[in-house]
Amino acid sequence: MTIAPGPRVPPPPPAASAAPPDDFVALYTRELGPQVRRATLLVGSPDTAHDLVHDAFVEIYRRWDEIDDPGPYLGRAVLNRCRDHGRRAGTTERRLPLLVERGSPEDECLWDALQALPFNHRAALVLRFYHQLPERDIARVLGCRPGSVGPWIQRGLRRLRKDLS
Amino acid sequence: MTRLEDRLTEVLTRTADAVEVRPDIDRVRDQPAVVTLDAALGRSRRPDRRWTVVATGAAAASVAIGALLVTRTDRSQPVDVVTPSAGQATAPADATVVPRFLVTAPGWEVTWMEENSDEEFGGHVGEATIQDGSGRSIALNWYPASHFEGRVDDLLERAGPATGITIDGRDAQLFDYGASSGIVAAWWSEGDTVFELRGDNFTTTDDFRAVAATVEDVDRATWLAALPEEAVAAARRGSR
Repeated sequence: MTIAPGPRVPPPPPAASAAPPDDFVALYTRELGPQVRRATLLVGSPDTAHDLVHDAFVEIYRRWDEIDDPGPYLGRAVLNRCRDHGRRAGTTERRLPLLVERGSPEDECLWDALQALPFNHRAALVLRFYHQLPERDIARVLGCRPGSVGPWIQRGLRRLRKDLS
Repeated sequence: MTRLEDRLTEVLTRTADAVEVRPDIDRVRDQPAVVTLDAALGRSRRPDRRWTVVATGAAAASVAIGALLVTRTDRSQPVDVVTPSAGQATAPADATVVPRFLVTAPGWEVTWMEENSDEEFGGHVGEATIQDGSGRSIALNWYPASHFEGRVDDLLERAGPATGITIDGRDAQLFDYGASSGIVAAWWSEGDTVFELRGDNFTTTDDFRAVAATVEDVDRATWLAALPEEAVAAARRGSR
């Protein structure tokens, strides 16, 4: 097994009043912006994105001594929260107005159509066309088999074309 | 790149660039240590919830309620609609032959479930998410055995050799993806269906084994009562 044996009883979380470790602060400083931006694209709302990303940081902070590689862990924790949020949120909440004031009506339609996609399709499109990741890396981020990514992207694009036509 | 792809990149980039990031590390430090799932969802559990199951195609009947179990799968041709309906419970036309599994450990709750039929995979696929409110989650998926060959290749590539585990008396294989990933997965098969039980954010394999040991094949009434309010309705989503 590659997983490291850990304590049966997790260590207590840092005391509420304790200053976060320097490396946690560095992670927070480095990752907050990219994670909030990605989460905003996935859930449609910067306020919700902030909440979800901070929830993920809380989890990381509580388990700081247990996690070997917090960067990928954080990314997955944020993604899972975005996925779960989408499951709970209704379509009304999903279809938020485009954030960019100068966006054209066509851009707003594209944004609405993107937010209406199934989560995996939307996430694959965001990771491909915003982060410019190759399919194998997208699969790693989404925790899926590599063969799923291509069909998700193609179906997502097909659905967007249909919705925009 | 097509024009749509260009536009997508432009809109995503412009939107992301417009996000005003608000650092607040004190919010992380001062957060209460434990947040329950119910509190996070803003609801209380209703174990006696009733459901209506509507099969929308001939193929739907045989999988109407299905079991649970894992992975991200495509959902191009949904066949089942599962929606909450107060005071009404309609059984599927043909009870599923697929076992129904639940995590029975205290605090674990099904927060998501959906089923689909997808020609690409040659049959029905389904997924349920079970969470305990601490950040750990278990995904239960089931899919046709014909799809499994590629899946096990992926497991072996990413997780390495398997070890044994027993899931409710069934011999299963356990893969773990390494401590940094926090992901552990177990799979087994029954008939033409493969099940995968995938744990996320588990610190150790033993943690996962302890929860997996509480997975039970339950009767249909128990299964229905455990389904979440958000259990989907893939067909509706597909037609939206």
